[in-house]
Amino acid sequence: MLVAHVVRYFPEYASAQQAVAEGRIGKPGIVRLTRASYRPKKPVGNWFLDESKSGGILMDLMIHDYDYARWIAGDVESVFAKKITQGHPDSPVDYGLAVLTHKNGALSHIAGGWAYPPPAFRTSLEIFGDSGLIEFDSDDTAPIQNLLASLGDSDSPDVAIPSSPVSESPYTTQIREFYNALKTGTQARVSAADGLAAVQIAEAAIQSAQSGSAVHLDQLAEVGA
Amino acid sequence: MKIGIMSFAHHHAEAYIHNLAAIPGVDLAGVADEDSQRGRKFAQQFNTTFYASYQDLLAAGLDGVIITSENSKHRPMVEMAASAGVHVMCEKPLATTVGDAEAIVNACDRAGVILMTAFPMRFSAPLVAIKTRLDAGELGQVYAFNATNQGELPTKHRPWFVDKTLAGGGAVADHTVHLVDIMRWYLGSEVSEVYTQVNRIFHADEVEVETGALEMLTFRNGVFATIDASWSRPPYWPTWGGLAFEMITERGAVIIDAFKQNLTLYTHQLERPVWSYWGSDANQAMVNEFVEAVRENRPARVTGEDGLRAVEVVEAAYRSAGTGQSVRVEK
Repeated sequence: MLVAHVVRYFPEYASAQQAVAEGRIGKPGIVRLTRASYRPKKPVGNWFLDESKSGGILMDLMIHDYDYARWIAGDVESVFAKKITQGHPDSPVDYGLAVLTHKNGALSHIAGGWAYPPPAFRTSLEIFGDSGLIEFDSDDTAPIQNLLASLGDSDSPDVAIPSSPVSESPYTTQIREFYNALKTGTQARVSAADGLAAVQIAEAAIQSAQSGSAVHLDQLAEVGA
Repeated sequence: MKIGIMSFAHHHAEAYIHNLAAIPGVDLAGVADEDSQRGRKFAQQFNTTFYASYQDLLAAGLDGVIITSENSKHRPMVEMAASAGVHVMCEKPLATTVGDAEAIVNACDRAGVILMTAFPMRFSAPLVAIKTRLDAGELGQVYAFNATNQGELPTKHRPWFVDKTLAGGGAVADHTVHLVDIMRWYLGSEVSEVYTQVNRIFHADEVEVETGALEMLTFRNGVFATIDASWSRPPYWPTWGGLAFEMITERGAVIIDAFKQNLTLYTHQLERPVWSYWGSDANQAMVNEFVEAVRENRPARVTGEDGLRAVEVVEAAYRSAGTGQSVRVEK
């Protein structure tokens, strides 16, 4: 089984992971990941905004970065999270913040936003290690800036998709790796157990936001200790 | 007006002396330091009188003093200045315990002297611009902050910053109070709960205090905020660190980087880019305010109570870090 955590296939994220794996910045101590855009549109029947279907911002949007944080700093032991719509269910914007404590002592700060005016979509990562640091910001690294007059009807997509022009779409890279995994039996970079572990973190984040307390994660039998 | 400096333990003393020199009618009346070698050195450097004891300095007819000692020594020095009837600007954090911070506030209240906590960010031009827009209602209701006050290991300035007794802790004690004060100022609300996780992965072999810290605060009005207080910047970063935050409101978000007004400077001398700050000097505006408050004999715009409230949050942050759970801020 393959889980489409496509962020692992984005070249900036894959490249940062490789630098960490090569020991370029030493042991990660703090990992900061943000992902923010506008609220998914289509008010009628929009499953992104239906918490029972999408899980809301702490599940649907931020799960990408829970998974990435695990890829960088390993398994997570406890989660503390909050989101705007917990206290303000009718708020026009939503924003979630989560603090993950990894088993090895590293800490991750995950921020997810459905708060910006369309078509804004920003992602960033900072990985602070004991012998270096990696930074990425989608705005700062955008190779093209458009300062063009509107052509009139310039509607933004219903759901924001991040993109920086690259020769192969990360979605294509993902499908290609999955295809190769099925065809030749090689291991894809995301396992089913990774997908499960990310859902466990997301559920803990939702539970933490509801209760106001930190949530300790049980060891998953499917994920190696 | 005559202003003195008590202790050069904190490197900000040097900056404040330059700020005082820029204000017409203000004289640096003298300095005192329990480390007499250090005190004499700076007295000579700034061409002022060195007093052998703090009492001697306070007896020299001062209008005000700036206290820049180690954090844990603020209390006895503020109490000394208050008994001498001298107005005080005290470096942040106001104290290393809530008990000491309360004693500091009470001593100045009883003596009827002005007590200002040195929170320069209240005078940062970009931060003031946002405060003005918030108060005008332009930004709508605030819901959350995602904030960072990261720095390099501060031992290059003074070794006591990583001494738990003198500093009150590590990165949490050093880097929590500025953002707490900014948020209190913006929101007009107090912190009710704090969740904190700390680690010691950066500089693990060099220091015994925490060097990494993530905190999540909840305010009484429901606003929640994270603070990254880590000493996570490497020494070869283009500048010392920074203070930045994203503020989420019902209208969207405002992203503020208080120290972004830099030139990027490349020089053969360093062979790496450095940032050369061209923004306004918040320290100057803060010292101006202290001098104005003394001249007009009125409370300063940042008070001792503001310093106390921030220390309460630091103490709660350490209690949370010890339990792994969110804790209430005790008043």
